Amino acid sequence: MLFPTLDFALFFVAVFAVAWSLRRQDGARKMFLLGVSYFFYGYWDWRFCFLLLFASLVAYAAGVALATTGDLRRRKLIVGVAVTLLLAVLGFFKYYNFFLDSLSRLLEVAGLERDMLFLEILLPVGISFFTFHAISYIVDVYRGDAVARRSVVDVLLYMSFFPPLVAGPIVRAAQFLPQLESRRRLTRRALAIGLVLCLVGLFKKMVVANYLATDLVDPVFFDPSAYGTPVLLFAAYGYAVQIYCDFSGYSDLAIGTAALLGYHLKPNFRQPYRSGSLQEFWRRWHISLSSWLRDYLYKPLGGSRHGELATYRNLFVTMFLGGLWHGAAWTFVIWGMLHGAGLAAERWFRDRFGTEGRRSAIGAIVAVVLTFHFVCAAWIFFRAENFGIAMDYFAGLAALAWDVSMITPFSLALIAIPLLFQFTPENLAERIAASIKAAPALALAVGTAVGVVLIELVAPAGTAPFIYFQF
Amino acid sequence: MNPAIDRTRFGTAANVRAGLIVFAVSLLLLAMFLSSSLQSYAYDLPVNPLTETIVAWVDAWHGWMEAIGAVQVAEGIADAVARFHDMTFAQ
Repeated sequence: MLFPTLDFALFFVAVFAVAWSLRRQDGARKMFLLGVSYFFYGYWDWRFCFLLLFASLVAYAAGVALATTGDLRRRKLIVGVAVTLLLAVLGFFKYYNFFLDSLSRLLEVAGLERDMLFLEILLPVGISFFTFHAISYIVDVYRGDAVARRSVVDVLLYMSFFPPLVAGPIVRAAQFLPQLESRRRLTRRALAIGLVLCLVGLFKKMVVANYLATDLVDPVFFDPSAYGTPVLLFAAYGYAVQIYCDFSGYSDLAIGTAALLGYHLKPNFRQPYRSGSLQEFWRRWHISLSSWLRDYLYKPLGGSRHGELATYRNLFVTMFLGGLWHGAAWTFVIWGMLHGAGLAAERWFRDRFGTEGRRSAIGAIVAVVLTFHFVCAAWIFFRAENFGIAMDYFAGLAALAWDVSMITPFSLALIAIPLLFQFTPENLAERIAASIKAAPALALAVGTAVGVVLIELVAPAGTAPFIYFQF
Repeated sequence: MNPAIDRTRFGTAANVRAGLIVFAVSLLLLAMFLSSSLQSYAYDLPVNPLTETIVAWVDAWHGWMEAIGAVQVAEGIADAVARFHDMTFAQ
């Protein structure tokens, strides 16, 4: 079930009404939310529900086992077995054919061609996200950051709670589970923030991301050799804005709908294209993934505690695996490696010259422009269907051939406006929500309704799936 | 503001009611201004006696919306967006 559809609107109105009518019966409310979350997930393909249930039960069992033993070796073994099981399932569904294909090509190069057992595997939507939810729960319990739950319903609901289920944000157990213990209240602030975020998310996805995809990005990335340098540059900016609006739009909708149900999820994006360095970019882009990778991968690898070389290696390995997490293709791996190498180079430069905090205004602008263009260049690998198309794209950029065929006032506005919003005061949605929260219910209703109707009228026909559904 | 009054005005029950009003008004306005999309949605439903009744209602609703001019307002906005969308720098 996609967020910007009538099906979801009717589903959510019913869930909102029933969930709040059960607000004094915590157990029934949780059971209801659990049931509707599985319904939401099963709407794609009911068979995937068993996979979600399996990952949830592995997390639950590991939590219970960890709570019953204080022996460090046993605890490590429990974490190791559970995480291996979860990663094995993820690996099979997401990477089986990719690794087999890579192995086949490697053997072919070595002259040892073999027939491989390729399988037609349907990728369960959101598998990367709920696997990370499960690992977060197990590791948080192991570290003592979260208490192991005796209630299987709590763990199942944490794993399946529908707003962030299929495309994040990745919710930490230590942040979400305590919210299941206290009675939920719907404050006027949460109502206002929920409505504002839903409107902003709908606009970003349905208007900006969908138009940019169909009018500009999809045709140019389909055959970059057919376009000149200005169009290729414009489409690279277009994709940077499209993926931002698509993914942050989904996050806004997830955080907004969760707020309307009384749950707080942390922001996932904070105007990433205003960043003056890659390090800052990763503190603003897909924050729930970058902080997850930092806490569950980079730090366990040693972080920055074992000298310069080890730090660079850890940065590189973390981003390499972060790239692979996005998808089973070498283009994602290259995207991750570019960011890893960029972060390591930036660290080396900062360690030598210590530029942080000493930039002039012009220096700060140059840093933002350079960071943005590095990120755009890496996005070309991320978006390209394969390595060859990415290379064609760069060749076209370097060819310096004149062509402005795809640059229109409409697409220019679609790119320029979201980029300008990168430089407005932070937490703009919260500020707007704070200013409207005291408005009468009817005024809120008319304002929201007019916004929704305008978005529907302006948006192109049809509902394209979110980019991050494939991850 | 008196905290007791604040709790009454802005307590969970009042906010849930406000939320339901928001959803109801939004769905009503969507049904008014996008009645043709509603028609397409209804026609895509699996055919059975219930959905045939729904289709008849939706057709009648769409006719009313045309009669009161809501459909024309929506088409006017969509046309304006389409003109901007199709504009080029050469024009």
